[in-house]
Amino acid sequence: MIMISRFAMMGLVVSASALASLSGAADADNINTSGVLCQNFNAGEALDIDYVVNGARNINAAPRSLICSLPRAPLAPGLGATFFVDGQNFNNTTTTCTVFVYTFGGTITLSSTFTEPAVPGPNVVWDHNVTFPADSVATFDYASVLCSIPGSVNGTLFGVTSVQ
Amino acid sequence: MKRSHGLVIAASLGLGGLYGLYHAVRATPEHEPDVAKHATGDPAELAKLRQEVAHLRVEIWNQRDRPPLPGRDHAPQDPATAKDRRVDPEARAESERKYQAYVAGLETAFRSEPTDPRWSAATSSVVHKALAEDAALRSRAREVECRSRTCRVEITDAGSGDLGKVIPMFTQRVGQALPTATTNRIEDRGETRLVLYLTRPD
Repeated sequence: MIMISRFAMMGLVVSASALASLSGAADADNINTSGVLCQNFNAGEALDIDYVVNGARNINAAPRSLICSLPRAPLAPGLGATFFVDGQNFNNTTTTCTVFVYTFGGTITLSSTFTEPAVPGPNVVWDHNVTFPADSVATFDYASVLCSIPGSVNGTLFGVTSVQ
Repeated sequence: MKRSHGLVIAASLGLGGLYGLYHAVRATPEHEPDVAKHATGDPAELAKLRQEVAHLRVEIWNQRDRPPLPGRDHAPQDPATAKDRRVDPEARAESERKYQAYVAGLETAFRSEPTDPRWSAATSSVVHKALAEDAALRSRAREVECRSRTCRVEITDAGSGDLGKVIPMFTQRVGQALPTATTNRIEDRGETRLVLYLTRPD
């Protein structure tokens, strides 16, 4: 009887500690999301967005807006938030993107706009970092990025990364 | 990476613990069919014992070997952990307090910002032009004030939900001159307003 109690207790303690360690706060990893998950921002422009294995591009002659989710794991408060947006432009064109952060109640709280490439050229691959300061981004906030990409397949949005 | 190691160790310890528990239960004489006690040669007794052993085998298989059935074998959720932490009033209040403190810092910084007449005039013009380009924003812009590195813009929120479409386009239009925007929602004389702090690059 004592033997079984000891075994039972050990089993319960080990199992409980295992479960506790699983449910505790964990270090998050960066989340890379391909640009193929981006979508047309305006309903009437769905047919203008074309997808390739390494991202999304615009087949219309005029610039078009793409909206992409920026998946992020809830983080400890006070850490701020860092994202990367990656793409490519041809023929001296540029891409303008705005990263938005909004609360789980739907209120947009922060945004940061950039234009890439800084020096346009015939074929420029770019990688842009956006960082929001500590205390400006809450634990459960969502993030998205809106990009205006050039027409005639002159720009491709490769993807986005949440640094966790 | 740290998390993966933690998970593997935790899972190993947990499985080890359960395995030890299972063997302890199985090996203890108190939990084995007491053959000596019941070995009376009575066919009815033997049949009963066989039935008990078969029942135990099924129970063990159910607990140890049966593959999980989709949608059926989830561990029951503890109501405390199933609760959405986001609706925890304390966590919400803390999150809101931090954000309001952050925005209050921006408002204070804006109020103490000196005015650069040249930059202010040029940037106000950019903001007014961007507001005028959108019919939905044109009539809602209440106040535009630019100083030396920040513009403060108030926009009435009628609660129709369309600001989610027009504010992003507005921030893109002014993004070249004012790339960073921080938004606050205020109630003023029964009217909801969005206050945008648009900041130029350093």
